[in-house]
Amino acid sequence: MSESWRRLASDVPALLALAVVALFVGAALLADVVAPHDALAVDLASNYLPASRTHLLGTDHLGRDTFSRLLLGARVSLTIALVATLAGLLVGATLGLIAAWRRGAVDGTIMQAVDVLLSFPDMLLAIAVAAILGRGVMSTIVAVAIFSVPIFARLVRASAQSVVGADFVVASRAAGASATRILLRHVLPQCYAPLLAQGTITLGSAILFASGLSFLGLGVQPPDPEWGAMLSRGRELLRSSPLGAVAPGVAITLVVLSFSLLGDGLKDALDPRR
Amino acid sequence: MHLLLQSFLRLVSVLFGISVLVFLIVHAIPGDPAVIAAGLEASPETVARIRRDLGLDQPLPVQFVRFVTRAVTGDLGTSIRTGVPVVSEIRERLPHTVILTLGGIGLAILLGLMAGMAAAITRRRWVDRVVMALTLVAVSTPSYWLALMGMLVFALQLALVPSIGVGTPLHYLLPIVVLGLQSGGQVARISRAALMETLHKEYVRAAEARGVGRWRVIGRHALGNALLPVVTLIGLRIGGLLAGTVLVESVFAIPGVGRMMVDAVIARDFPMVQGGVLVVATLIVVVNVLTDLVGAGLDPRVRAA
Repeated sequence: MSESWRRLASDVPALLALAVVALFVGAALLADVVAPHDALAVDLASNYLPASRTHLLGTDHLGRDTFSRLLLGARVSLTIALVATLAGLLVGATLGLIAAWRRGAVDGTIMQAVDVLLSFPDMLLAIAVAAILGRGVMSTIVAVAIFSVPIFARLVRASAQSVVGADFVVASRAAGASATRILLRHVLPQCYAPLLAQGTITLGSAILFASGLSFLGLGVQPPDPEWGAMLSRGRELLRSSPLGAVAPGVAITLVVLSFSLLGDGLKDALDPRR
Repeated sequence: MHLLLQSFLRLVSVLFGISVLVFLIVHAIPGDPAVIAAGLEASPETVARIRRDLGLDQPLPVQFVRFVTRAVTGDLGTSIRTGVPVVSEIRERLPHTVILTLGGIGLAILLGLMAGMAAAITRRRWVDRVVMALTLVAVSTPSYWLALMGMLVFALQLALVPSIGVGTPLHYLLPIVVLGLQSGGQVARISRAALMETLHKEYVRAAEARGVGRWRVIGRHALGNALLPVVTLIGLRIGGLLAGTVLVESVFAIPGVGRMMVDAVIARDFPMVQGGVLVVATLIVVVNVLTDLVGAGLDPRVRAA
């Protein structure tokens, strides 16, 4: 493991990405402490103010402080991405383990279903989910979780397949260990490294996609601050407060870029064969 | 022939899956969909009418068979909000979405292949690095934000293009550029990887060793084989590009199918959601199968099988 960390430590883009991610996680955790204003406080008399000492990024259409909303938005966006990714990982990993363990028809059926899911357009899935569950955070999380299932399922299946036939697995099977025990104690740990790398990459795409849903009005609902939702007034925002339109987009791009660089870095560091 | 049959079977099975999913949109809703669609203040008569229109008073299998037979004959029901047949609404809006998607794909292939080739072929490492960095930024940037920034600069400040709506070909320019840049990033990454791999293949090195010029090697030997993953990617990207199209339609107020579906979800206009998802998903699946066939045509190994 220390070998891997040394490799990661010499990967400059990945380290920079890690720093950016840390910065945003910090902002998310400390949002209420650091934010100069109440992110939800409406003050119609001072709407669309330009950037100033008191309002670093100006104010929005309801006179709320854009910088404070950006900070709190980090918490909303990161939480949605984290919950959705973990849910997708859990379901995907379980399916992948079962497919690798049972093989044959079970494997075929699971992977067929996973392939169909993979080819289904994510935006249509999100629209269908939003139609069923109603608009809001919940349907965003469900949609993002569903379409991240296939990639985790394939990844775990591939990693697990390489160990289910190994001598130590056969030995513990002979010693009478249950399938669940073998899968959790011996097979799953073999998948940790690729899961960590892929999970990091998925976090980025989850943020990107969830912010798009909020922008459309299907995800996070007002008055909660979310980076995509902050841009939903589009043209009006451009005319009255260009800075307020630039900032959330820069935040999303930076975070998504960082997660994907960090994920690539982890992939290389944890798997020296590549 | 075997391949055609296989594609056809896959098409039918995926379409069946899609129609089940779309059918379930209404039936998976917690609570009474007729009440939800009608709104809280609706009279019992309105609720009863919507229930009858949605066919909710029939047993589930009967409803499904009716839904599929109607859909096959081109009847997707009528909008709860406006009473307009869903099919005619889609027919009116689909051209806008198709123009954006085709334009976006076309531009993505053009930009992506050029950038990918530049990155893979150049002997200067910085070119490769710059191209890769740019493509990474392109795939990490939200398309709707890129659209807003494009609007800010080219429509509001420079006044080179109209900012919203449709009407002239110029109206489509900015949206297509946004979509093309985004998908172009992915095309560039794939074509770079594919080209680099082919350039190391023995037949390419053999051609080089025979003294065939560099560009001739690339044009005659490498490019054709590198195109295969690109075609596959484009088939897969059609679905992803659609996500971009929905977002970009919203930014530029283009009355396409994407915005229609989102508005329908917000208005709880279920027949409209169902019709939109069904038609768009079907188009995407057909394109997927077509690109598979084209890919097979490009690959002699698959062609022979």
